[in-house]
Parts: sequence; C-alpha cells; structure tokens
Amino acid sequence: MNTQSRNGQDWPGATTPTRGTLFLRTFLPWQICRFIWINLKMMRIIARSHRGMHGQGMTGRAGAGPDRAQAAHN
Amino acid sequence: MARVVVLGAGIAGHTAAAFLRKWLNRRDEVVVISPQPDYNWIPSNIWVGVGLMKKRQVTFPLAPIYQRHDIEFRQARAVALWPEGDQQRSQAAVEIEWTLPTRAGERERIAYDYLVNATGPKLNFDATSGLGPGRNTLSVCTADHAEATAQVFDEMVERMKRGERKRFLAGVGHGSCTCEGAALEYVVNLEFELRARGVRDKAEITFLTNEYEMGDLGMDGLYIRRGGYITPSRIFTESLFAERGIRWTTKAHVRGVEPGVAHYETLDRGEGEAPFDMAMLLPPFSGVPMKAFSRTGEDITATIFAPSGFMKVDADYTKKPYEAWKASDWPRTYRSPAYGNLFAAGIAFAPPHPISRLRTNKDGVMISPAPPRTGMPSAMIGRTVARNIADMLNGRGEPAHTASMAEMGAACVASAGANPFTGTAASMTVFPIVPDYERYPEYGRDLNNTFGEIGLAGHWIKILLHHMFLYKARLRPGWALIPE
Repeated sequence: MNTQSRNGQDWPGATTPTRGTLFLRTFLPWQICRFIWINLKMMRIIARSHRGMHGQGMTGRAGAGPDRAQAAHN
Repeated sequence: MARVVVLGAGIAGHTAAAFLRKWLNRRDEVVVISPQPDYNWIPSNIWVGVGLMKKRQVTFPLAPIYQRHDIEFRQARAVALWPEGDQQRSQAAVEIEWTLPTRAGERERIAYDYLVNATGPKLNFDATSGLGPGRNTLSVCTADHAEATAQVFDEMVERMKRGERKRFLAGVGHGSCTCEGAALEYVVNLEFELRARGVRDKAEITFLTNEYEMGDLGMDGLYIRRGGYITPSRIFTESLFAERGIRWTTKAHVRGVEPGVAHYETLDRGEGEAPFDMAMLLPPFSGVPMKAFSRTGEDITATIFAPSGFMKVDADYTKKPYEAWKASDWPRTYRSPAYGNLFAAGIAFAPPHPISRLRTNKDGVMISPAPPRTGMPSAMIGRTVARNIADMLNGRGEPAHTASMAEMGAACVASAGANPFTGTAASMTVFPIVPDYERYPEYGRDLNNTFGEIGLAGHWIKILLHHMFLYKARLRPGWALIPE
C-alpha cells in the first residue's frame, strides 16, 4: 500500500520500512531482547522523573519519609 | 483532624486520594467527589473502541475500594468553591450536587482543610457543531463512548463483508484539541482490526489532525537518534501511516460535522470536506465548569480559574511569544496562588501556554494542539500534590515537592495493533515533556532519554501496563510500589 497523501495531494515523501525492518518488528527472539531493553529505558526515565519530584528533607510524621516506590526506583 | 477533599477520581484524582490515605494519619479524612461511580483506565478505551475489550475490562466500581481503604466517596459533581467559607462558617467549602441516582440533584457543602481539583476535562463537543456521540461522530473518551463506537465499527465490518466499501475518518474535531496521540492510536488500531477481519481492501481511512505536521503530538514534535541520524518524529509518524495506507490531513480545524461529512479549514489551504461512513473525532477540552465565591458571596471565579475553566496554579501566565516561552513558565507545585490550601492535578490545571507553536489561519482561527497532560504526568502530579499536602498538614509551611512537566519525562506506548504475535506498538520516551532549550539548547530534550521504536515488544509492554495500572488503581497489595 502506498497511497499516502498530504492535505489531499499525493505526497511521496514518506519513508517506508524495508522488508528486514518489518520482519524484525515481529521476530520473537529479537523482540524479547527489545522488550527487556525498552523496559530498562522506560524505568530509567521513570526513575529520573521521580527523582525530580522530591524536595529537600521530610518531616517526621508517620509515612512522611521517602516512600517505597521511590526506593524501588533508586 | 483534617479533611482533604479530592474532586475527581480519574488518574490524577485517584492517585492523589490513594497517596493521601497512605500518608495522612488515620484520624484525617480523605473525601473523593466524582460524578461517575466507576474508575476508567482511559488509555485502554482505544481497544474498547475497536471491540477488542469490553467496558468491564477497563472500569471498576470505586465505592467498594474506597470503603476498604477508609476513603469517603460521594458520587457527586462539584459546582462551586467557597475558599474563604461563607457567612455561616469560616471554613473553606466546596458545594456539590449529587449524581448518585437515589440522591440525584441534592446539594451539599463540604468543608475542607485542603482541596485537590482533579476534575479532568469537560469534553467540549459543543465547540464544533454536529460533533460527538448522539450527533454525527463517535468518541473513545469514555468507556461508554468507546463501546458505542465499537458497535458502529462492528456494523461497518459486517457491511464490508457483504461487499460494501466504507470510509473511516479519525482524528480531532477542533483546531484546539489535545490528545492527538490517542487519535493516532485509534486510527492505527482500526486499520489493524480491519486487516484482521479481512476487509481492509474495502476501507478508505483518513486521519484529520490540527497538528502542524504529523508527529507533533501537542509537544512540538520530538527528535530521536536512530540509524545514524537525528530524525524528527514526523518521519516516523508519516512512515507509520504510509505503511498502513492511511491518508492524513494536517493543520485542520473542523468547523462542523453533518451526517457523513466533516467540514474543515486549514492553516494554509482554505477549506475542505472529509466524507465518512464512520467518524471518531476527539473533542477539545475545557475546564469542568465551577464557580467560586468569596465569603461575602462575590463571584471570584476569574481569580481562581482561567477563562478556559482550568485552575490557575503556580505557573507564569504572562502572555509571551513562542520564542520567549521557557521551561520555568510551567508549574511545579500546582498550588493556587490565591489560596494556599487549593491545588490542581492532572488536566484540571491551566497550562501557561501550549508546547507546540501557536498558529492561526488568515481568518484568525487558532489551529494548534493544546498541551497533553494525561497519563503519566497526571499521576505524578497527583502524587506530588498528595505529598505536599501531607507535609503541610504536618507543619511544613510551603510545598517542597515538585512535578514540573519541564523536569519530568514520560513513557508512552501507543498500540498499533493488538495481537500477541503479530501486533505492534510504538514505544516512546520523552525527556522532558516540555522542551527546555536552556538546558538542551539544540533539540530542547535529552536525546539519550528520548526515543521511539515500533515492534511487538511495545505491544507486550502495553498489555503489561494495562494490567499493572489497573492492579495499582484497585489498590491491591503493594500498589504503591508500582510507579506512576
């Protein structure tokens, strides 16, 4: 299929994946590796984002210490 | 004893309420006010909208969960704030109107020590004539909308199996819409399902968007390091569509929808028409309408809320040109500058400006995406607000925790076909969500933490996230260990 158009006019500028790229997208051994890699990458972003959420110091009320989810990220 | 009232039980409100309950003393009260009885994991509505999931798989009743966790739940909508109290009592209060069928229409004022406004958006279908369920288009914004959309989709498929050709239109229904990513996800899932059901050759699919170019996603686009090049998201998005034979129209503002045809104007090409047999167009958002009154009854709505209806928080709302926008314009604590015990979380806060460049056409119509603030940022803001309230109740004077969208990243997985062996999804991370050109002068974002990839692994992650976040939302054992 190559019917792309832009604002109603045929527009041939879009890149399309090669047969090899399409194959790898659903090739199980490769995708298992990517699953691990993408999860690690996402965990890094989440950890970095959560780090930015925490101010300096906590007060002493019950449960006010660094929470467990944060500990899990670090 | 303190009482914290949370308006809304969506991703931001529910997260805030859960963490408040976890962090406050047992004698403190957490009250959730939501007009809907159910929690809805909205990201999976996409799958409900193509018939791959049922409503019950993306929703669950809130009352039993709140009862189990000692959170008071009132099925009602907030109608007015009295942040200084009223003439009878000096404590701040929120006026609610019950939506629970047995008490429908009853009004009540609930006093609060702290209030979190997490009402989410008003789905503003009225902004475009003929837009929305019950009119000429469909939606996946709520689980009910998505189920109705799936029914129409099923009917279309049946007719295509009998040999009819059908035209599908998906995208956004107004020049100021947000959530282009969700519309994109819906259209590629629709295409995948048509293929899976053996009728793709009978379908013509068009995507209609207010983005200046594909891949803008309301985030001014993004750049990804890939294959030895730093490549704009436009290239990947156009490729995704070209590969699937989906046509697209960018820079479009839908002016009105009649049965079978959407009328739009664009930034640069004047007017156009998009004929359809089935259309799923997302609405623009506005703030949930709420009034605010001073102690003497004077209307102070404009002090607390922006004209859009979203709540003003600690952002820099000074009008500036695109070139002068800064990461530091974005709010950090989501506290109202007018009342220190009032916070907003999720979509309910008023952003200082869009992320994508503002553009208007020759008639002055703004055709530019509003900034996305759903999902991960919503939950993180909800949690940060809860943290600050817990600290302030414990004697800390000022909020110390921050969740600026210019300092946080987002991980997003957009399904592009749901099948455990042949499905794919686009996995994306972006850091930060709001570009910071002072910190990252070239591209506004950290390219080591901004990436995108399409593959089956993304679909597995999407499934994992669906179950993980629903588990967390049900507040099952260890829920707080699951990150936002």
